[in-house]
Amino acid sequence: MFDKFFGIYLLNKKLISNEDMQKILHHMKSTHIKIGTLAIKEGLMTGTQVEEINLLQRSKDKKFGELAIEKGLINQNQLESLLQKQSEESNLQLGQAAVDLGYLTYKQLDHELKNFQNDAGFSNAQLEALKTGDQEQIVRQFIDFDNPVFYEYVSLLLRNIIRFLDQHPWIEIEESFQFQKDPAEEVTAYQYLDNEQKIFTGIAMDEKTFKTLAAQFAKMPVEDDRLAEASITEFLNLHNGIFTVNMSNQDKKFEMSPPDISRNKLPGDMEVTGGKYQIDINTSLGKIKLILAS
Amino acid sequence: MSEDVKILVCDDSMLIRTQVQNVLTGAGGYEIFHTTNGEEAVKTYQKEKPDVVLLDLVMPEVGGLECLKQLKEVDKEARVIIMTSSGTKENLQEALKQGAIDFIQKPMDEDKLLSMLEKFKGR
Repeated sequence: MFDKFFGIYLLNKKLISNEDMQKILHHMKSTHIKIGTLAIKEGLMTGTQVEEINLLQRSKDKKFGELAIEKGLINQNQLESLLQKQSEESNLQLGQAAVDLGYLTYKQLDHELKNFQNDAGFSNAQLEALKTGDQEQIVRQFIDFDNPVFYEYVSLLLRNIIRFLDQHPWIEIEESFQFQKDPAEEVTAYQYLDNEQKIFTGIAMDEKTFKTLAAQFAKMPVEDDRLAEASITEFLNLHNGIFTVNMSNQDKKFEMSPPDISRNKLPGDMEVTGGKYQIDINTSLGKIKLILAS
Repeated sequence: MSEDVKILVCDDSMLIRTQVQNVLTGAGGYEIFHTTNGEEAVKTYQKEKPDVVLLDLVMPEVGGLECLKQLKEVDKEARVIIMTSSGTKENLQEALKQGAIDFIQKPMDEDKLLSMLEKFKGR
């Protein structure tokens, strides 16, 4: 996560262009080091064991490390050491990619990393959240929701994007996360969750991103528009399903309505009275606008 | 040679129906019927008498639990497997209480789905 904000910082300082950023993210994608790979490198797990955990992750909302511990393959200390190694490598990954691709020199990288904290205007708590990459903390430090369950909602969505769509999502930090206006020329998949209060959940994106993410989630070509719509609504439905199970474990009951699609505007009957929020989540495959309201 | 196992898939998501179709066609030995809502599922069940129903929980109008109830009224021996991403304890307890024989969590593990259905071959 730290990497992403360093990337935005470089973008804002016009040291790299948007196009450079996309190339950097693609470069990072091919070099991203996962905990499983590090565990193999450190001789803590075999390839077969890593594959077994990856398979388990498909059906459980748990991190690789948690499952590996549950299965007795590694212990807590070993996991912490692996996470530390991963964080050391990942904090520098974007900078390294920018140098590898010739957008920055090592001297510039050194200079900009040092200036990053001062220029970016983050508080210490915010910067700490970015450095550790703790998504829950990042959401809590930067967004002021009127509904406390939204914090868990956004953190889980980021984890599900990583599980099913893209390794490198990052939230665009804005001055305000209040919803402004209907998304133009965009497709919105939406679904209501009911408990004492009705919650609107929606993910909006442009047509190109919609098709790309749909194919990624479906793991098959989605030339047919209806199949693309089914894929994105199923992603939202799956995410909301996991969210309702997590909430149910905390004795908070939600009922899901069937998901639906709306084009160029939000559904007219958006039945909410509380705050409406828009959180822009960038991925290397395009931008997802998360819309939450209750 | 034994007959194909008849599977009725009831899910409003075209993606899920396509994925199940691809997995079962690839494995062979299954005849598949698709429906997109609970009402249609009950009608198709009465007409085709499938060996197993794969039933989604969250669907428009007649939802999964209501559909399960209606299927059991039509045939108390109906074998129904719930497919769901919202597998809360309450939902699953209710489904089992109403006579579902098993459930599978979405996203579906293809091997798990096939091993669940394999046992109905040759019956």
